[in-house]
Amino acid sequence: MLYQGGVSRSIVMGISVQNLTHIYNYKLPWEFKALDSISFSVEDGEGFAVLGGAGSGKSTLAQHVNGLLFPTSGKVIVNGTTVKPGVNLLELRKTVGMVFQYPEAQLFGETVFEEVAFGLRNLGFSEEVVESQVQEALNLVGFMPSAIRHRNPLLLSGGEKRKVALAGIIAMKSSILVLDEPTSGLDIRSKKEVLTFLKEYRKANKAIIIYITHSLEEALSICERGIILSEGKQVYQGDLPEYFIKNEDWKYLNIEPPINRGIALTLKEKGLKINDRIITRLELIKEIEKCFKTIKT
Amino acid sequence: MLKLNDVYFNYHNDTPRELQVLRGVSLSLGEGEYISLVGNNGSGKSTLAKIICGLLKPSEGTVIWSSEESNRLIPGHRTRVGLILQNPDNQIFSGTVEEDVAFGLENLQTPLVEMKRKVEDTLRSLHLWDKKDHPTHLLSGGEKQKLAIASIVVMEPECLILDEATVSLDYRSKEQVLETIMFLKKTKRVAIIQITSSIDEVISSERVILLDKGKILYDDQVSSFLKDSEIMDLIGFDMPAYVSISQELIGRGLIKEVCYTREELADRLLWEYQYRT
Ligand SMILES: Nc1ncnc2c1ncn2[C@@H]1O[C@H](COP(=O)(O)OP(=O)(O)OP(=O)(O)O)[C@@H](O)[C@H]1O
Ligand SMILES: Nc1ncnc2c1ncn2[C@@H]1O[C@H](COP(=O)(O)OP(=O)(O)OP(=O)(O)O)[C@@H](O)[C@H]1O
Ligand SMILES: [Mg+2]
Ligand SMILES: [Mg+2]
Repeated sequence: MLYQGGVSRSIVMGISVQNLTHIYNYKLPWEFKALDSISFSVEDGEGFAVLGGAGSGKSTLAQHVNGLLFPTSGKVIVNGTTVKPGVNLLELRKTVGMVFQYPEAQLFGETVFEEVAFGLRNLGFSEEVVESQVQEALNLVGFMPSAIRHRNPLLLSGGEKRKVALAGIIAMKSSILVLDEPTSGLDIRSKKEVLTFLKEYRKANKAIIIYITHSLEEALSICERGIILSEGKQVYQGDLPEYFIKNEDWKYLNIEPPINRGIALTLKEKGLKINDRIITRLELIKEIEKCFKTIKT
Repeated sequence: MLKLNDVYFNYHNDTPRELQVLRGVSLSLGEGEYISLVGNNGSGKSTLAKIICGLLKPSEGTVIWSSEESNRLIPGHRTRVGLILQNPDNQIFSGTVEEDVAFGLENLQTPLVEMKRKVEDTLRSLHLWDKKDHPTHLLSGGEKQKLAIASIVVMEPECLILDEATVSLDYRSKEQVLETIMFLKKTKRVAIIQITSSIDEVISSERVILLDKGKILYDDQVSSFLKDSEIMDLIGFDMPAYVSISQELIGRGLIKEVCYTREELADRLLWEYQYRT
């Protein structure tokens, strides 16, 4: 809290997660601690990756940001407001756009248009604004709006459903996007387009992107920082490239190995004297060249 | 084992031929083959998968298994093909993990001892054994996906179709799935069709079929596919990292040949290094 001229005003923007613990079925059969004392914060304009193997707690964490789940203990604060039962969830969902791991879980409109317009209408926008924002969003995910708008979203192909779900949050222009494996099921071109779009969107709107993925490459292309979960505990939190350059415990965490460093490590194991503390392809190639230059002819 | 002849399909009866979802698809599939089916969103891959397993009936053309015609939807025909979808919620029942996997075998009246052994083997190979007593609805997305795979794999169908079934899986789980299906391919001659957009998955298969707006545009060995930059470009595939790194190293005069695995790249570099010193 900052006191300015006697008015108390919260200037804590962004997301702050403090000691978040989530226990499913608390004090019931099948009680399960899915998150254990997680803490991190994300500032406006940041991309923040959530990495970890199957069942490590990623989706559970994501659902705390827009109030689909509430902490068993600890706190989640979004733009200064603590997420808890009874807070203004409509306000929260306006701020936080979420794409679920499986898009079927969030598609219920009768037509693609209704589906994408749903959030905007809820917020009371005029039909004119709704029309133009829906069109724009459908275009952005690669659809021809006129060809798709009257279709039933549940009778689309897998990738088309994912694009509709993405269009839904793009139309809302939310300042926080929580994306649970948003590119799975997209074809290669669409995947690249969506990644490019997200990078630009983040910059242009100073938006926060919480990005859940199994692809380290995608994580590194969208996010600078991130958290790594293992069985509900946070193994690491901070700068991502740094983690993958300095550590090797990712080998045991069911996460994708950093491919270029992985190659460098293989070369080193085979006996080449190469510096493996690299992350990009260019760095790898430079290191290989350097290693060859030491040969005296 | 399976032959598709000039198959047309559409979800609406009155669609003109040239606008149908599948437009004259012909292909044949042999025992133990491992195929990657690739193509853009909406190109008809999932539809083709459903035609193959008899969930949908072609509007024209035939689907022939060995000698019989499945065009008439022979009852019981579906156990020949196991289809695994991207969203596991569509194929998981309630109950425990173990019950879910045993369900299909129970229906086939598999002897109890054999059933127990098969269920345990499958759950172990996918690292789900320690979750066997878990209620299925309490699993994470990836765990459910592995369960859906286990429940189909345990039936040892003649043909296994994975429709983007590993997209939401972590790295290790993907490896476990690959090991599991490769074992079936080797020991039971199970044919595998994987629908995928991952170049790494394509590389683990033997043959690539590219579907474009309902037509087969390419059908050849993976090794030829990887060398065909025109077709790779068309679908947007990037070369796998080892390949493009080795190409770059060739450009810089460090090695002489393209490498298709990490090991190959390492060996070649090492050889060049030792040769020069
Ligand atoms: N149940 C349905 N009713 C009507 N049309 C459908 C239905 N399912 C799919 N379609 C349409 O048929 C076309 C092919 O769909 P299909 O699901 O086979 O594509 P796909 O290649 O699997 O795509 P993706 O990569 O997105 O999963 C798409 O244009 C889709 O919109
Ligand atoms: N409703 C629930 N009740 C009890 N346990 C649950 C429930 N939902 C999830 N879990 C458990 O909590 C853990 C974390 O689940 P979560 O869905 O957050 O994992 P995840 O990291 O998203 O995994 P994935 O990569 O497989 O999607 C898992 O072990 C899962 O079994
Ligand atoms: Mg998840
Ligand atoms: Mg599909």
